[in-house]
Amino acid sequence: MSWLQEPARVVTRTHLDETVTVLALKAPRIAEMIVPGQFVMLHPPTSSYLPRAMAPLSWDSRTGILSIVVRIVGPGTRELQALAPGDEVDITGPLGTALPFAPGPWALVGRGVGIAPLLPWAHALAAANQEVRFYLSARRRDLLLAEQEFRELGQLTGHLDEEKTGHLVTDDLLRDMENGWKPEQILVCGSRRLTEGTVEIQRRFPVNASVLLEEKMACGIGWCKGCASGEQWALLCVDGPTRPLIEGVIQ
Amino acid sequence: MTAAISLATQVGTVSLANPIMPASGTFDYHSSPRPPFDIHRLGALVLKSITWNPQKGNPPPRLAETPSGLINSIGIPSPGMERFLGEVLPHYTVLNIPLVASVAGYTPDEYARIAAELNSIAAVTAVELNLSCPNIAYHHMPAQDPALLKECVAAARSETTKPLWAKLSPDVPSVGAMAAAAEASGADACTVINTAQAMMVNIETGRLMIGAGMGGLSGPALLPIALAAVWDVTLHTRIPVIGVGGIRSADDVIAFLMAGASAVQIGTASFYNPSVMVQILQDLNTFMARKHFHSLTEIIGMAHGAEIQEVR
Repeated sequence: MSWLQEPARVVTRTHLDETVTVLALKAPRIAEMIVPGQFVMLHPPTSSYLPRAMAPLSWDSRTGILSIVVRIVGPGTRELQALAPGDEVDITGPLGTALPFAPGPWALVGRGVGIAPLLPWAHALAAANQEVRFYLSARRRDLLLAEQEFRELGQLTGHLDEEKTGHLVTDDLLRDMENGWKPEQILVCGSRRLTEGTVEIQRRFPVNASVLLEEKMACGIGWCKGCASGEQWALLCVDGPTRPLIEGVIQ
Repeated sequence: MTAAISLATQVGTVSLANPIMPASGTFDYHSSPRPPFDIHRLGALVLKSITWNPQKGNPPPRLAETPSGLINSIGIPSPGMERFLGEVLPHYTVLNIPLVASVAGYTPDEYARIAAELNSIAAVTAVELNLSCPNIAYHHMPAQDPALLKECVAAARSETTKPLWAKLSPDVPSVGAMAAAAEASGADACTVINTAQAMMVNIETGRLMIGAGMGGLSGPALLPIALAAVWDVTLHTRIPVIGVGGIRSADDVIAFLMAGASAVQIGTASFYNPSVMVQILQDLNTFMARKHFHSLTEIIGMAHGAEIQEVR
């Protein structure tokens, strides 16, 4: 694996709501190299904040465009969200370890912006003729990212009112498994509750499960040793962000 | 025709092609994908501190960003001396660049033992004693206790003929006085400064933002403090100083050199831009050409020539 730094330009910006924005960035060299499971670091050239780690929703090696979903959680992401078409942003990547292929069926479980890194993997699995089902949740319908695209790739169970009802999409996955569906692999992203729900599933059924994790990162390239995770404090930027499921609940 | 510009510098007996090197613990060439620039362009490489016994480092979260810097509590994850020699060092000894090994001990004896092991390794150019990490469970760090500092430096000195650099803490009444203690115990140079003890509170949760509680502040906030410390050390000692703290640009480097540093280390800035050290080298050449300087000897310590008004 190797990475590079590329000055990218914002092509389009779409605000999904006041906190979530999709940026389309022209970064041809990174779009050519990146594979599912990897992420990039974004840094506006004039920003005094550290770069922010983002796993793209999609990329196209022909057009050189990556789509990145930015959710505002602090001043750094606020600067990214404020980037306008034509603005420059430095990208470092691709970083992290590729998702390891394993035969399906696969269940992809995600919430909110955590849905983003699941889409490239969904495409890769569909291209490899693997059965895949999606269990996705969001605060609002338009935050259920790429809903139509997911539906074209496999069966989708979606939830918009998890927080009100306490019903989790992992409850739906469990129900499907109780009814006889036997996924070999589960991949979770974006929610500790969904990770805990998947841990429960793993207690009842023999299934491999992993989680895409986040931790504060300064460099993204293994130098700062900041993004330690799990029992052995592996670095998410180099040995992740895909990690064994259990690390998602001991964080 | 203009005379060639040289960025070469000396840190005591150590000759460097240029004054730019990474700060310990902020750059790797073995455990992560290789950077997309030729590391041989740097003046030297400084390795992450090595401890005698293996240790995992501190619990996450290890980082908290502030408006002017970065608080870290990494806690020196280390493979231990044996695995360092077998698995880490071989990645560096094949390089053709001055190599500075950084040593962290819990006792004077550990500094001595590690220094002794490194003494027989030809590829190690110099040894930097990390006496000032704010993130490991010392009773207090050697750089804050003149007696302990002297003991640690002297212990390492007795076991190695390599140039010894003492890395000092800003969290003392006088960095210069601590540097003088290091010099008296056999240090050949001082690296000034390590991070400053710092913390941050998450007001949403009411908890500290760093897993271990306290951390060390690096980044731009540290620069004027580090500059003052470099100045102080040059007034208290005769040994060369390696300046470190908040350097982001060639202009910052020049300021350290003018204050008396013979070389500099760059840390947090590499997290913003991984190739910043290479960029700084280019910009240093531009500065030298613009000001008609040909050698760093014209710049190093330049500010000491200025008349300083006495404050009463």
